[in-house]
Amino acid sequence: MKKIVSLITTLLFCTSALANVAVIVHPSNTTNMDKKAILKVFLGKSKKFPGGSLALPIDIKSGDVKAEFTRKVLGKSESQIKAYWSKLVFTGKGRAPQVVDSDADVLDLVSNNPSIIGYVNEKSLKDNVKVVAIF
Amino acid sequence: MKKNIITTSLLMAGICISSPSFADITFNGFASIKAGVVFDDVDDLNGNGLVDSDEEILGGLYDKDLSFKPESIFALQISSDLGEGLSITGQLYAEGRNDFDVEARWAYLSYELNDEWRINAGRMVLPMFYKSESEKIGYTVTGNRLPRSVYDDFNFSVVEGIRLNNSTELGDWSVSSSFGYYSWEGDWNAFGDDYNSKFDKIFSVSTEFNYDWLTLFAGGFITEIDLSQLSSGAVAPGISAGASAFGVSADETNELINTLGLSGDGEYYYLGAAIDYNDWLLTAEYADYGIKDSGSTFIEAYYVMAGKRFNDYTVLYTYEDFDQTPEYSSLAGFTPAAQAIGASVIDLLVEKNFKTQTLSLRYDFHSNAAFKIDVFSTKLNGLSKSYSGLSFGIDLVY
Repeated sequence: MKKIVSLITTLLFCTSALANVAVIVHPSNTTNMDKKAILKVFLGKSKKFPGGSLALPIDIKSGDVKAEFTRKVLGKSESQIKAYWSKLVFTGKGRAPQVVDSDADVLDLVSNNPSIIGYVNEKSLKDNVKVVAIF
Repeated sequence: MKKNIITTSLLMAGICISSPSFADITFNGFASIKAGVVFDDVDDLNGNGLVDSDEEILGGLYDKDLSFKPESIFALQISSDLGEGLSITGQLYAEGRNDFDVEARWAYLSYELNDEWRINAGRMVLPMFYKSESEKIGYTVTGNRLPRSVYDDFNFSVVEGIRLNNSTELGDWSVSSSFGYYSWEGDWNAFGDDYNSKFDKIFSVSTEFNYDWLTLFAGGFITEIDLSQLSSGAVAPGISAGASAFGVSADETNELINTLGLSGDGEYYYLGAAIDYNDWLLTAEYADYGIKDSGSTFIEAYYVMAGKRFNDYTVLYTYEDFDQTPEYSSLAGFTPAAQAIGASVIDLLVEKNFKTQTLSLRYDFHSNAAFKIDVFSTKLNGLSKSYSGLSFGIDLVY
């Protein structure tokens, strides 16, 4: 019995160790966005928030939270997304989102610019941003 | 008068002295390091001692000696954001099959009119078929190369002109289209020589409709093709020689030369669909193109690709068909002798016919690079013999 309990506890901890991704915007941004709307902005298919204001997505260079966001929200692998943007960038049809190095950089940019939308590890969240969704 | 000149000069000096605002410069690039080998010898099917285009294996890219040259590519793109929606981009490109001579494959000014419309002007790759513009970016291709049945080597693939790009949402569908006007001038290599040629008034439209796992695409262009140098330099002399040998009248000879001339209205069309559902992949594309009312025969080409992704691996099977079947209806009003000469000219201008099967594996081993390996088997001109080969390489984006 004890062994089963500790096994279950270990499994629970393992599951919660996987990063939850929080999609964030500036606190003054009153927009509501579902996964589809977030996907459209991050793939450059929509350049506006549902309310009509300018939306500038910010990407993270690499790491677990980027991998989780790409998988859970964009529904593709990182190589598929890279191929998607390469096609647009090298044929004059668009520009990939700006890239920053870390969650801290994302929080900094989002908290200072009402147009920016980004994603961070849920554990990195601070009070100076508004959470639009958690995946 | 003098005062005005001095004032003007000072004003201009003032403008020059004030510090310029430096634009945002972005560097991107892509590269392919590829190698290939063919296991079979080329056969001289018509016994003329030359390797004609319909005798080539895989378009003559590889032979029995492993080579790293033909499909290796290096490209660097420099883009400068000038602010307020204006940017300028240049893409330097070097390809092994051109001895890695550096050319500007793209060099254009881009202006974002609004969220949906962008205008590009300058030197660009013609969106001839679905993936023509991104054809050389190996990383964006699932297999080791795009099917050569549709994505052949065209010397007019880089053109100058102006293009309107649109990207919009229609409900759950994403629609992207481009409308362009271009021209091209360059050398056309035929019968061992280079002939000056032009594609004028190229009007091109291409569209893509995407809904989640389904993409539908279609497009095409029309153009006025001037291949008069090739016609008068190679085709007409052949017709004249045949005509005098068989006693065809001068009038009929001239009419035959006009009928079989290679200049005329070019028409290029493509359409197809792509499915990417639960890591199952299916793509089919059909292309139809040629020069209307000319001695050249329209080409019909298509491919079907089916594959599956397994985490970082993708397996893909491709079947492709290139068909150029001559028809002689333009010779209807001519005398039998003239018809015979005309038919042999039409046949001579037919380039090739082939069917190819390819099995390829892609391994995304790095966030910026993919390794590919493929084996192919091809049949030429409806004959039963198969020619096969292997190629492999790495595609990178950076």
